[in-house]
Amino acid sequence: MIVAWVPFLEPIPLHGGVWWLLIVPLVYGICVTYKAVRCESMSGFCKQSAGMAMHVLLVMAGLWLALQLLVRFVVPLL
Amino acid sequence: MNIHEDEPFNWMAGALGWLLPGLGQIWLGHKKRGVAIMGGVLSLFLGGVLLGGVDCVDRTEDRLWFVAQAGAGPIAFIVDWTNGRFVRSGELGEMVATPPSSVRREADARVSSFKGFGIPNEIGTLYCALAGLMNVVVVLDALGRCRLQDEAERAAP
Repeated sequence: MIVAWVPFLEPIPLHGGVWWLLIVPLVYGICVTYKAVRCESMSGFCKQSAGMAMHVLLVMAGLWLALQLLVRFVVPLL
Repeated sequence: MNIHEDEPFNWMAGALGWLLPGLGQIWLGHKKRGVAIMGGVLSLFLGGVLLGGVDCVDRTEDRLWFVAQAGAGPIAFIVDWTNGRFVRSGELGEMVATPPSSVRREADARVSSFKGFGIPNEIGTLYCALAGLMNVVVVLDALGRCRLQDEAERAAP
């Protein structure tokens, strides 16, 4: 139960198989740090880090889709 | 990244960057960059501790993970100390018997009821480890980065 959860002491109670959504803040945090190091100028930093995060997430979604097709449709034909 | 010819590494900036992520860049005058780095690395690390609890940073049981997490600086050691002091010792919660397992351990092994298990704990461990690894990149950047005023002088004709 969420009421019984003690933040920072206990793991967050996740229900309903939504754990994979945690990849979004993870990717965004990595992209913010990476772009803060790599950007020549900090003027377009927010846009660039959001764009990079979007690219990474889209590639991951594409890989998920490709693997789903492979496992569900191609492998049964073999 | 720019490196001085006479001074190949900026050791002070590197050390500050390990003590607090982004502090090396701030010390070199790159305030916005340092604040962005600080926000990125600390939100990853603290997000990991929020998701997995303090037990996701554990120097004794997850040694290899801790090698990566230690890159985030003293904050990793503080969380590990907190874990040992309050969770592993059983000072908070109660010590409960561990379930049967094929892993060899002492008879009547007990763990704190606050010990983290399952996917949130694993993801929290991953968040903290990636924060540590990203801070290694940040420290390497701080080691080779010029002061902002030096960069401006070089850019001037």
